[in-house]
Amino acid sequence: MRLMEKFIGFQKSDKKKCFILGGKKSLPLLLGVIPFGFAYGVFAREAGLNILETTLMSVLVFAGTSQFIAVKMISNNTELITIIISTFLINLRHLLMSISLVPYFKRLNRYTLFFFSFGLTDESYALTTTELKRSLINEYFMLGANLIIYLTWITSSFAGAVIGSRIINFKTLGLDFALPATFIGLLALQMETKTSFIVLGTSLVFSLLIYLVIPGKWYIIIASLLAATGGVLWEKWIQK
Amino acid sequence: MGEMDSKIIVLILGMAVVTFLPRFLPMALMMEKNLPEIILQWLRFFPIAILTALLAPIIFVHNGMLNLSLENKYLIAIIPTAIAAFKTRNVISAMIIGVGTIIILNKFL
Repeated sequence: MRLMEKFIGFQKSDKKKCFILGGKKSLPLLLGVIPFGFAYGVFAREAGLNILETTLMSVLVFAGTSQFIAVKMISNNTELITIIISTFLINLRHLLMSISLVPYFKRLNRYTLFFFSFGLTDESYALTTTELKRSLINEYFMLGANLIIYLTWITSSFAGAVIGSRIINFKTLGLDFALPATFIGLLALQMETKTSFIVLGTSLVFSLLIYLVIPGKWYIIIASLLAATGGVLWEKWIQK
Repeated sequence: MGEMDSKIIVLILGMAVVTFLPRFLPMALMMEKNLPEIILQWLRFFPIAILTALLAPIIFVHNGMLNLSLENKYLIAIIPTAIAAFKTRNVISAMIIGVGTIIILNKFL
């Protein structure tokens, strides 16, 4: 609780500093976001979307995996409602992310809350939760990260749509590993207690099992719920 | 650029709504509430749990199959990447080491 008070004290003062820090810290993630956005742009054009539609989807939806899957489904002439339901299911994982941020960000005003939530992606979540463990940051950190990732996403998908074909082989450059590597780095920085490793292990085992058995993105949701519960049970159990 | 297909517009708007709501509703509804300690404890484990679940299939599953062999380059690259992160406490160096490892493995394997 003492940390929380210190946090609120910091929260009042350093909006600009946090915003810039969030933008800066998001830079390594961009090496993963750019090829992803570019590839989405290329695929969307191949699926029959024009440049405006391709870019507008990035501007309004801002969700990489579901945009990818949506354009694939468009090229298969899937019904609109099916694509929208799939998008919802893919992005349900953000529900868990949003819930878990509740304890850290209190009383955001309407506009802050809008941009904070709109920009919540796997990338900005990974970044923000890691930074929450290391330093005292406020919601402006996440807003700064969101903005940089958002602009990069729009720009790279526009570039992919305009250029229309893969000009660089990202795999030979090793860039296919840029996003996983950054996530591994962020995750490693969150590993502090014995319980962290219990949670990681539980999530690892269950996510792989569920991924191989149940189609869709359910593995993220189910494995996370189980692993977090495992963490609580473990701490209760060792405290006794 | 060209005209936009009205079906595509409906699709984009529908996708935008169902993407935004899960990101927005929990914070919007629960931001003012004080959660019980046990729930707070539970929520604290979500970041590690979610990040692990996001990463696991990317690292371990290739072509729909679990790959635990040493031919799995991503699996090998975890080790230097994680060590770099632990040692330097810096994500950029972890990323560079990780990508560098993959480039080297691509060259020699």
